[in-house]
Amino acid sequence: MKQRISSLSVSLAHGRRHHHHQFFRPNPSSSSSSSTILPGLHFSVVAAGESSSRLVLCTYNSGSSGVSSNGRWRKPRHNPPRKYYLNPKTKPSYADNRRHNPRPKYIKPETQRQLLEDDRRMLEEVTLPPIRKFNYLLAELVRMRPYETIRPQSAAPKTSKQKDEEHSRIDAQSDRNDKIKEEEKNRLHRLSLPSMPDVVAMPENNNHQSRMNYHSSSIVAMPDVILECVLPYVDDPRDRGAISHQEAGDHRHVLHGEPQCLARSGDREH
Amino acid sequence: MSITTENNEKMITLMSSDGEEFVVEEAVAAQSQTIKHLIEDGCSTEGSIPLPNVTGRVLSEVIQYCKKHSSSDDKEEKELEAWDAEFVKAADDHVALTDLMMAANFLDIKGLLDLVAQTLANMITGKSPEEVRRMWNIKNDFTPEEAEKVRKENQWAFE
Repeated sequence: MKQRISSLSVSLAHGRRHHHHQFFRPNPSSSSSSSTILPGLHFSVVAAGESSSRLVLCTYNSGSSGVSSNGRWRKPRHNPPRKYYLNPKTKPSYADNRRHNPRPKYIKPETQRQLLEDDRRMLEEVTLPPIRKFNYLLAELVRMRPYETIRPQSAAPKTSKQKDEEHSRIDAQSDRNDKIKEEEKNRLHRLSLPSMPDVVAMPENNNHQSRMNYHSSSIVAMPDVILECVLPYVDDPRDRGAISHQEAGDHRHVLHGEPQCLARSGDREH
Repeated sequence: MSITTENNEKMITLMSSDGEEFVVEEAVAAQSQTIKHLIEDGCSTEGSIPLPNVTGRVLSEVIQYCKKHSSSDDKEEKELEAWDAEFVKAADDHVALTDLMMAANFLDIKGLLDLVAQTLANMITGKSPEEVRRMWNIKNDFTPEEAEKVRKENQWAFE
């Protein structure tokens, strides 16, 4: 038997956060409904950076939103309004009052767990594919792919005029970059320092995405998380801020999120 | 799926991103804080625990590590260190180690994370910035001005 689900929320997380599945009870008033969940299904994906992502699914609630089981509009049902009696003689008894304004029911944690379990089973049986497959679908939708090529997002097709403008802009930019590089080399030569590697001109890739490391040809692009984890363990004796093995043992897990120098001398402070 | 063996040990099924299933003891799986919390939250009562960030190959290595570390006592520390050294040596290159580290970070296995991070750090130490960039395909996105600024700030490294 198909049943309507009032709402469903599934969040997937990466890094150290957990997969979290949350299911809500179907609306009791619509529990006998036989319509499917899919027409009312609404997806919204919120991706919060590289470390976490979340996907939330919501369906309408037939009981409160006024959508009946056959999909037509009907007047929403409300609880009767609370009544106040100024005259104590006409005031209803406590039992009457409770009947009209019932207290919210307390549900024991075990019962809640059972209800969640029932909902999950119902989801598997009735409206959606098995939760495992569903999980994978969501994971495929939102998961980050650190080792695959990250390509710049495709833009809308450009007119020939726009293309010409862009070409001229890129040319001007590359000329400027060449000049800067030349000056840089001359200056470094004067200072007798080893020259820095060539800097690739990125007129179009100066957005946040281009800051993520990607390589056009192959598999590996090192995500920033690896650098953050590894750098605290790099022990260079010349680096006065580098941490010793002992300190690494004490602090490494504090440092994973935000690598920092433990010992800073005055001349390196800014 | 949670199964109980004859020794009353609860078994957990872990599913990698490519669909491979690994049945392990709960004690082994609980070496990962992420999985431990999933078990505590009751996400493993029915069906396997999906790990969408970890491939089957990497997951098998992680399980191998967890099995070894869950079975050994504190007395066998030296032996365990030797085993760890062999374990990271068995990983072919920095790419495999990087995969392992991503998995350790996702699964929140402190010991494995320490081990792999230290190994990768040893690989980086002594290399020039350009060598490290080449090693991991890191794009140099410094402008000349930024590069000069960094160079000035870290002049000690070029002495």
